[in-house]
Amino acid sequence: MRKNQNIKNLGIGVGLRPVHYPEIFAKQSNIDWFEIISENFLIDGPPVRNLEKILEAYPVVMHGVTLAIGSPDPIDFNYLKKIKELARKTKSPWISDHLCWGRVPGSHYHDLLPLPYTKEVIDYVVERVKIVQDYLEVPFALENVSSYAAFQEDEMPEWEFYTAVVEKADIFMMLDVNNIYVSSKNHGFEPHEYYKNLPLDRVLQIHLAGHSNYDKFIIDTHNNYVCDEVWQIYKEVYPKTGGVSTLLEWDDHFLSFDDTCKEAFKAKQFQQEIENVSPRS
Amino acid sequence: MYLLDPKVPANLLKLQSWFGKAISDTTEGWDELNLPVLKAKYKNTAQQYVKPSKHLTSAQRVAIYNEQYWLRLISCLKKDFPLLVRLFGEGDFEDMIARRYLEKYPPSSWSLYILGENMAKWVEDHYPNEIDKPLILEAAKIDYGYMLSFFSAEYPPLQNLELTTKISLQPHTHLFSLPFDILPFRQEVLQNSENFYLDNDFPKLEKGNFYCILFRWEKKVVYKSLSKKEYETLQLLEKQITFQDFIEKIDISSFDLQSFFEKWSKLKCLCSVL
Repeated sequence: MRKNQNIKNLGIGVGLRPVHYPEIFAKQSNIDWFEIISENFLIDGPPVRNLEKILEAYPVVMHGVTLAIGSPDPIDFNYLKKIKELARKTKSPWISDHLCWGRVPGSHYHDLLPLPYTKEVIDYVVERVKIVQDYLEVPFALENVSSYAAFQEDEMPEWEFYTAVVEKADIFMMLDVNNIYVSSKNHGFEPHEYYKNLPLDRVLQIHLAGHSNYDKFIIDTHNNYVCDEVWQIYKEVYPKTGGVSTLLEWDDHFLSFDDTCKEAFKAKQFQQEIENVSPRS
Repeated sequence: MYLLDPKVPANLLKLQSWFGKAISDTTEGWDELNLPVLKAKYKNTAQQYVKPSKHLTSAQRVAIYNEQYWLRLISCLKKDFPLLVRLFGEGDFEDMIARRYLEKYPPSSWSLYILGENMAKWVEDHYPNEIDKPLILEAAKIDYGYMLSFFSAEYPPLQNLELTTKISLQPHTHLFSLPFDILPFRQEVLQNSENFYLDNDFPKLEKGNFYCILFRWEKKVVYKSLSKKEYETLQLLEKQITFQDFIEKIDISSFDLQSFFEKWSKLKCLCSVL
């Protein structure tokens, strides 16, 4: 049985961003669902009131950015408690965050920093992920991050590390196909080398996004259209997942909400090109 | 005291400690790829930890993260302190305020909402120009007050006032006693772009004793000017107090209790503490 067999395919979604609220509240959109950055709704106030309004009309999925699972400090249960409370409110069918680190005791870097790909780090992260998964009590997924640095002590390629973590912890993958592309250019590997070696039946959601190309390196900026190469990766990966929820992230140099949805809906064209794929519902 | 996960591998901790310092430290200019140049102590040790790529040295790869760290946090501070940004212009705000503030108070929480919580303290302790310090200080307090008001909770409004009822101001209200009439000034200044005042005069800023309250109204933060008496009366409600204690602390003979409670209840600034 596929690991993601019982995970619902929500269709095509976009990241919920305040800049789009006027358009979203003005008329019902045909977008299937929204993903929220969990941390933006952990403190009570108008953002939570806006979210409550969104929840009346759309499914919402939670995506975190500060779990920093590979960090050296103890797991922050105060933070996880807030995440769990928000999950109850949103009825998020799953929760995701990133396979990265982001702080040391006393300092928070607010970035998705890459981990060294070693067996020792796999064991460390897996143990922590299991605790998080048990605590949250909803399916939990880790996302592959875009990276700009690789470490001398790496013992394996990223895909092997990512696979080992999700399989040993028995969790899901939140696969960002733009991040595969960005990292492939920054580290010099072929994108297909990455995804052909992943257990794609563990993918419960795919992220799409744009990036900024500075010729000698690429930065994952989420401020641009999805490039052709990333659509190509999506086209190849999507059928192998069995058909999963797909989401466009756009975080800067915003388009109108309608145009953002249009970009996200391009994914449907690629899905329709694929024969014999019937998304689960 | 800071705790570590007892199972963190020593090599991982060593790498993270080095990497964290390298990406959050200040840098020395820019290189040919327009990446920040790390200080020598990181530049010289980068290769021990980070592989070079086909196009970038080990230090340049770390520098990408350093640039992102500062960009992200400075951009957050710019959003949180819009009046300060306009008082200095974007460039000077970044160099004279944001970078120096972050060096002193780097983020230590998952929440970026509180990134600027020490700004007023930083201005008080470290802002070098004594002549304009009073204005910069009040601007920092007001900007952060707007932020706090926007993101604070709202409790159920005050109802059924009895002598034993515990009353307080809503968490989103903030009282200010100011040496400048800075709120209308702020409102006017914020209508212009961040760098507008590099080439234009600021509107007139009146000096004196001014009192006001910031509070949230229909998902927006608004302010209201107060008389000194009104300010002092509202101050009594900053911490929870029973209605009876409140009455005992005010000069009831010259105070229109009903109008006071009607006004501030209508503005949704009062709550009963559970």
